[in-house]
Amino acid sequence: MPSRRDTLKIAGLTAGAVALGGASRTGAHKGEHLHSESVPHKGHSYAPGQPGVDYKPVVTPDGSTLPFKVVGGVKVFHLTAEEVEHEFAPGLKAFCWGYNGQVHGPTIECVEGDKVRIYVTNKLVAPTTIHWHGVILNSGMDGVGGLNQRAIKPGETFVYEWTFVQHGTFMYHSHHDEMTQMAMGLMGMIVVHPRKRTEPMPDREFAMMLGTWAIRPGAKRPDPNVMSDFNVLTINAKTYPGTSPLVARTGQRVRFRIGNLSAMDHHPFHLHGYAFEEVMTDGGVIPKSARRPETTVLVPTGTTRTVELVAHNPGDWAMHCHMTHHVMTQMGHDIPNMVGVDPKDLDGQMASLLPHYMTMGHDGMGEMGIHVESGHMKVPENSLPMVGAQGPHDYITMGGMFTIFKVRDGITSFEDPGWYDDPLGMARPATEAELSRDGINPDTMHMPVNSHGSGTSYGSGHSGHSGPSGRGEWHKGGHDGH
Amino acid sequence: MKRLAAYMLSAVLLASCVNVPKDAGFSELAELTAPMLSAPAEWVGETISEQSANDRISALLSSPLTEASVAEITVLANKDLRATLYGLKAARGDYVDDASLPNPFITALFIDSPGESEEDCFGNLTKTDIPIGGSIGIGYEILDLLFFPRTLKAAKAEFNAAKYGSVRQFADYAYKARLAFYQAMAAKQMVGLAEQSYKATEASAYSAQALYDAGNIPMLNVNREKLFAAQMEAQLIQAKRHQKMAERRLAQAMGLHPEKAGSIKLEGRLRTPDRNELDPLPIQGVMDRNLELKHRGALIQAAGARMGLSDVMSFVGDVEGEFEVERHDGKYEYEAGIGFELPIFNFGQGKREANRARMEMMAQRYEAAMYSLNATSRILYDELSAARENVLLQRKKVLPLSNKVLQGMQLDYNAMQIGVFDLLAAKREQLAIGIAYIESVEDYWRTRAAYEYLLAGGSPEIAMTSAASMSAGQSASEGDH
Repeated sequence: MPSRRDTLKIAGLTAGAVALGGASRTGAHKGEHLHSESVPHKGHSYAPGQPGVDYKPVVTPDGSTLPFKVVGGVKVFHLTAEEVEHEFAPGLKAFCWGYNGQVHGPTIECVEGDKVRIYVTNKLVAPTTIHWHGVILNSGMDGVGGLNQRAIKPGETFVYEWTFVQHGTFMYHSHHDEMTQMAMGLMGMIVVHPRKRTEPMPDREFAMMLGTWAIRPGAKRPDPNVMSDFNVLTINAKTYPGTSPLVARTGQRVRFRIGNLSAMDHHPFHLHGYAFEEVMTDGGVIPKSARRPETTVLVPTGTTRTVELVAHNPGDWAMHCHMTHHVMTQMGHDIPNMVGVDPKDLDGQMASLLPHYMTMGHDGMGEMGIHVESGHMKVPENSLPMVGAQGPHDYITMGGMFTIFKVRDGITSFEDPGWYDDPLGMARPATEAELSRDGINPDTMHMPVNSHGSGTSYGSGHSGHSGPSGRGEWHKGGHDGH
Repeated sequence: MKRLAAYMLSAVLLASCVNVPKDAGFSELAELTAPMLSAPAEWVGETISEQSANDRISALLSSPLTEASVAEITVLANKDLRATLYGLKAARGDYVDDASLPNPFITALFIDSPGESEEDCFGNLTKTDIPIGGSIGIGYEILDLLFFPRTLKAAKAEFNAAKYGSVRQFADYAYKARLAFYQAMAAKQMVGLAEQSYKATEASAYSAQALYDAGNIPMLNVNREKLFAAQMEAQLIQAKRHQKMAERRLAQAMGLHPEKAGSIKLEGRLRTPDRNELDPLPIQGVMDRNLELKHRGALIQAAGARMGLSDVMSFVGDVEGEFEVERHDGKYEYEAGIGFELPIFNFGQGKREANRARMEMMAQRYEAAMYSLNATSRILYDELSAARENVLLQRKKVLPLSNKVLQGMQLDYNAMQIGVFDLLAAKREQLAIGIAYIESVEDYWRTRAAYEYLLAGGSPEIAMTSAASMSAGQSASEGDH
């Protein structure tokens, strides 16, 4: 029989678990830890995990996986922090800071139980450290400059060493002068596969780091001083149309491991054409009972979210941050709102003063990219239009944190398969016959609002009655409030 | 006596040899004014008829004015310059007068007495007839004669002084007209830029109105833009006022009738100075050519020449020689005499001291003028070098950079980094730089006009005054920015 003290303990733990939203699965009820272990670690050691044997390697679109060698049963990695000229998309390059010649750094991929030794060489002009974000390790390896270690001076090589006692999706990033060094790109993903699988192994896994940058059009270096007006929004340091598509075969189990190390922003990441399940955070695996189907996953800054689906729906599916300003590129945010402005007279007024002037934005921003791409509207060198690229049917008016999930039947190569030609057809202009059949008059169609503000029935004004023609009557869209 | 006669003879000969210019020195004036006028000097009514002068002025006014045509119109139209030439003619008259030997004075005495009554031994009065008689005397101011060569020298120097004064008047008017021309040109260019600036603000206000009409901004923003546009309109009105004033001043400087001010045509822009380096300052040439120094020098010469006579006269006053022939009792009698003051109380030392002091004063002032000229020349040379450097810098760097900035802003606008208001503000900044450039070009040309005026013999005081007013104007306009 539990004592009164034990009861209080359990009550306290229960309250804590409730406060955590019931997120704990492994260990929490034992009062030990919340991270995910698939095998015991205390007093155990495991052979280094083998790609292709213990796990199917993740794909880091537009990135790479950090190679390793095994020395005395330890996986040895080497990261070199250095300045890199990085292309965000054709037309925009900048001098960033990355690892091993790339931005962001390569993905570190391991298996739970792997002992790792990671050498870090600093070839920057500034001291640096690396913090292993979300990884359970001893304090001396945590990489916070000044707190856990002294900073790695330019030219020095430090070594970090620990054993992964968890599996999941984590990140690494500089933890010295974070504002500057993370804004310059010093970060990367860590994927740790479970030693023992309790769930099906995904067929395709994508590691994606979301990031925000401030690069003034025409400049060639990110500006770490910018606090909120970021203008280059990236997935793995690429901005659309620089992002590579994510390709899967129909029927494959696909996992997206999404990390966010943006300076100031969270990203509600949305996938079209699918519902998915959020299976893991950087804290650990989400119990199946706590998972729910979603189409958008919010990835707060400083976290990872892993979502999973079965690619049952072939097609080209947009995948993007749903913050609309995060699917723009290099847009100024202090410009006046030109929507609805009649440009005709204004253009005339400006002609003698500014011969290259053209009123923009009066019908939105959608055409900006078209004007730039067609060449008649020049933008500063080394800059991108605010939006998009040419798609198969029209101009895609999205840029920034945008990519395409391409699912195809029966493919064996995961190279970009090109644009999807939907055999079921696509949206097209309505024909006169269709309009007539359904009683649609584009010129007079209005949907009035009733006195309660809700949509109401509309008797079609001109021919609203169902008659012999079979044209239907509009029905009330909702409760009228009475 | 013989020596005196010989001296008199030589004086007469000297007087007859004096060559007073028949054209009142105009040809020499034309020669001296050549470096400062791009057109030959004319004397309306003497070297060119009134009608021809008017026809020429009309012809010149029918085309856009240039520095050369401005100078030519000034020569032909300016009544004050004509007055100057008549002044020169008057000086010639004075010279002719001074170059003539002073006339002797004659005294003639006729004696026709009623006779005298004489009582004889019987007590009877007997009238004695006295024959008709008389005397003729000739007198001469001996000192005038003795000092005639010096008088002649003084007269020549005074005429030269008048001539240099007239040449300087030409230089002054030509210079002032040239300055007025540059001012008018700059004012015209300023109006062009002010019009564009106003258009830019008007477009800004129009944009704001369009945004307001679309429901995108509040009326407050519209009114701010409209207020700015109204302020720029006021600046445009000011610029036009300055232009009109500058054109009237130009007409006035050229000496045109005010009614003709409206017929002035100005086109084009003030030229950018060529890239050739300035020649070194020809300081000796400046000193040699300076009309004020020449004028002062001639006055000193005249004063020096007149001082000898003045010194003697201060001691003895007028020295008068007189010769008289008298017939008396049928006989001729000859008398000769000389008269002068007896320097008992006043030995004339005060007058002589004053003369010397005045001479010294003139000499010191001459030297002061030399120093002033020397210093002014160097100041203006430095000013011109700096003004030239400034305008070339503006032309070579500032204007192209300002164009590049505007182009960059246009690209930023295209990239939607800035809005229409920022773009128009950038245009206004570019126009403001254009205005600063015009000011710098005007500064250069005005300084150059002052410098060249000085090189050609102009007054350092006038040159510096206009340079100072330029600087003041510059500071004021800089303050406005």
